[in-house]
Amino acid sequence: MTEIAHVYKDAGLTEIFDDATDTLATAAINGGSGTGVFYVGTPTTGNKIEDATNPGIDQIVVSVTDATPGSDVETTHIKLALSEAGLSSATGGASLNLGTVINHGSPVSVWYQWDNSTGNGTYSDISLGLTSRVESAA
Amino acid sequence: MAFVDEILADSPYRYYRLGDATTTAVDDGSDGTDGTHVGGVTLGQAGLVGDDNDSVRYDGSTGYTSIPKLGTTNFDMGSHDATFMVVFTAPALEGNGTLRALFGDYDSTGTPTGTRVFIEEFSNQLTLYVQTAFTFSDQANYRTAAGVITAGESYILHFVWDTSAKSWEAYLDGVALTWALATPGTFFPSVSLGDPLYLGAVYDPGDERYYKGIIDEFALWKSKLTTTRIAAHADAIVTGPDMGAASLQMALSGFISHDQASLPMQLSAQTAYPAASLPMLLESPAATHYQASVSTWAPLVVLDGTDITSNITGTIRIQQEETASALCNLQLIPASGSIDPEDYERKPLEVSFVGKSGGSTLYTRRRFTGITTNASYNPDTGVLSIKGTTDLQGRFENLSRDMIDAIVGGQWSTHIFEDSADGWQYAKDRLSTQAAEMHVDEYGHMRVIPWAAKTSPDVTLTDAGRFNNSLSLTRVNRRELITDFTVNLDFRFVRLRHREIGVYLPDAYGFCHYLNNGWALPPRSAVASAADSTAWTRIGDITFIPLPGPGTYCVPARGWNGEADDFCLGASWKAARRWAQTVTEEYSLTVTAPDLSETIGVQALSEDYGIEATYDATDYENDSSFADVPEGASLSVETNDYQLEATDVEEDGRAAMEAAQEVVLAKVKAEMLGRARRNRLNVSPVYDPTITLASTVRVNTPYLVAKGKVFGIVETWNTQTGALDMDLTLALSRHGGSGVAVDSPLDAADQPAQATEEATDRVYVMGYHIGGLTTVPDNDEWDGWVTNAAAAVHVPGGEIYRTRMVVNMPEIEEAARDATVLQQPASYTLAIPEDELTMSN
Repeated sequence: MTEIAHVYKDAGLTEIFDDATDTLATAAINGGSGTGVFYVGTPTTGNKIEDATNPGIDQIVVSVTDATPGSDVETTHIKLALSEAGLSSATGGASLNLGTVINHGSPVSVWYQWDNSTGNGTYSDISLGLTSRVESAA
Repeated sequence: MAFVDEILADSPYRYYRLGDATTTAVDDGSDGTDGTHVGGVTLGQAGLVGDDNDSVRYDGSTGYTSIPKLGTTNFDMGSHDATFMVVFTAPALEGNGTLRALFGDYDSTGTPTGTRVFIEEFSNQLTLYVQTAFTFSDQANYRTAAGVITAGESYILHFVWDTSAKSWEAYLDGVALTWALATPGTFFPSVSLGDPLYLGAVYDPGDERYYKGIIDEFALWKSKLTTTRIAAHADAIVTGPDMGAASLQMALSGFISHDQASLPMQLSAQTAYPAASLPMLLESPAATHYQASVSTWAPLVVLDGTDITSNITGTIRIQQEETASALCNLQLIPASGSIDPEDYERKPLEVSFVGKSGGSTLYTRRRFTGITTNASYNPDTGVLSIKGTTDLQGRFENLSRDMIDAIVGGQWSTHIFEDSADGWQYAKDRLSTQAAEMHVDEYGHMRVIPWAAKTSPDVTLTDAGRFNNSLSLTRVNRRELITDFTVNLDFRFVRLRHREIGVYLPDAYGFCHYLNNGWALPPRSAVASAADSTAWTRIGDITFIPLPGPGTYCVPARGWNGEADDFCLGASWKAARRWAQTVTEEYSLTVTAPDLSETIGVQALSEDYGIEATYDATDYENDSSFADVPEGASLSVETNDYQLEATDVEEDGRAAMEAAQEVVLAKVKAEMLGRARRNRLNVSPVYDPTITLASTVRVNTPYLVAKGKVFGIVETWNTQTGALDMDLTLALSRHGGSGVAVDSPLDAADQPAQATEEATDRVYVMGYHIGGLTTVPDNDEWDGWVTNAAAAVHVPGGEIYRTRMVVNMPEIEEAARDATVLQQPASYTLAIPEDELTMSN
């Protein structure tokens, strides 16, 4: 099991995402869309999360990665937004800025949407990347 | 050149510098004829021309300087030019008509003859006034415009007689003055022909018009000085004391001393986390598979990250329902070895169904993501039963309200819901203001889904029969429906009121009544004391009607010497009173669903709420130190008072109350809509893995056509048969009416209009009980100025009033003080959705 720090399956930040057992899953019939959400934050009181390269300056970013470009699902089929409503205006394949600082108590919701134009099946070639982070006292 | 040198340079005939140490006024002029200081003069006063020569202060009543007569021909104005120069400080304002003589000779054995020069108070300002006379009938008068001279200021005046023009010219501080009044006489007397010339008065026995102020430097020439020389005199005065205020910049170089410092360091440890990759599982069921007449399925069960599918036995049952946790029950045969059911509890559980074709996996479809709650082992059968849940309630329990707000949405008010509610209750409260349900979906995501069926269904289920007789429709019990929902909401608050009244003690009789009858005037102190001895607060100063200045007044004419500033002829001021009034606004908000009542008649329900904006008005009512209307108060047209709603906390104020109205209206709407969709259609279609609680499903059979949102799903996998079954429950919203109702905005009702109060006076005019009556007994209820002391003196034994000033301010009427109730009904229309439902046989 490899827990991904700061990534949680629930808004209460109690169920940490484990890339060995968890997936960011959704379903969509061919021609349809499916959505899902996860949360980025720290459950440690008084702490904050920042980008590791330029803390407090650079954005913490979620990006879309395709392990098999040209086949199966493409990055452009995935939209990211900070709210469910924001998905409608999001651009497929575009990265999502989560902010320069994420403080305890204010986790960020990351919504994703798969617009299925690939067809029926189960696909796992897409993953979402999260930039390196540092956590420190706020 | 010094001033004295400038004067002497022009060879004055007489020159009295007035810096005398004795009563002898030394003449430094060519004539050398000394004068005499007489009466109320104070020698040794600071000079006015900037040198060390002193001056003389005249007391305005007896003091003057007598200068010996100038002689027969020296100042014969009929044939000689002449110049007089005097430096003086202008007297204070004392009342119109006051004449203070700089110098003059105006009497020769009782006949006006000569010239006198005054500072006159005219139009409440000072002016230069000159009068020459030969006889009573031949007097010449000259006056400059009022305000040429300012009280207390020092000037140099040149007074020049031009015998060819037969007119006086005057120069103040070297600048020629223009006469506003100039009425020359016919004959032109000599100045001080046979009489002495008085400085600081007029030689006119019995009418001296004594000067009141300082005079310095008095000079006479038997010629007309040029304007250049006159200006030179003025320019030679050094006006030290009148140089005006100055701002002197200071350059201060400061040195601030600081102690040795300790600079604390905060070293924050950082924990670095590498970039992460989050795998995605994207599932797309194939319709060709799950809509086939015979589909092959297999379960995929992952418990705490371990695939336990091969251990599954019996059935897997997943049950989902709106606004409830999804439940999953399954059985398995544990691997050999020791068994502890607790090892299976509180573990992540995922259940998927796999579409198979010929042994190959076409796709997977997650149907449950949750956590195990309970595990029990049957040693007799060797089967371990596990229960799982999506734990909808638990997920909200510990969430912050901000997060719940973001997830659930809706509205909330502390006046409608319980403020101390836990996270779950808080989430349900917010949800109750929306026509929506919430659940944890098959991937573990919390969802809030509107109740309304989509226009285009996500899935259409068709069957030539009755879905193997699984179709059933349960209509809502009509007693559960609500057509008219009334919310009675009372809002109680404190209205701060502030009333202002103009208070008047008018000048009812006029000055002459007091003067002629000897009545006692109201003392200003008595008026002020009475004004400040009521429950009302005086705002601003008292405006007194003053007594006139010295003069002759009334008929018959009477002399009045003024000096009665402690009294008045009347007065007025503004008084205010503050109090608090409790107001209750009773709102009756009725939401009606006419389409529904068309079918079932009126079925009413009501709820009551109360909101009280607490406020302790004690300080407001007791404070008498205010000087204006309360901040934020506005004048009400209904009461003619200033008003302001008060509350200790904003959460109890009007804005919060109106927000609460909108919250409860939204709650009522959701309640009515929720009850109208309690019609349930049950159907068991061929298993469709795309149907979720978020789906809108249309059922299409020859006997029934219906469309609605999925309310509940039960999925059952049978290990022995390999069958995967689905039982759906759809919620159908129905009203049965004509469907003409249109939703009205659920805005807070307008504030009820305040009742117009009976008008009361905002002016209080006091009376008088004053004068000669001594036969009317005194009365404690009298107000205003009460005295008959003057008359009582002349009527011995008569009733003598207690002299007093009485202000009886009015009381605030009960209607303005008492608690008041205002009612405000408001109506709203609600359109109930009519989901598709047709039936036939």
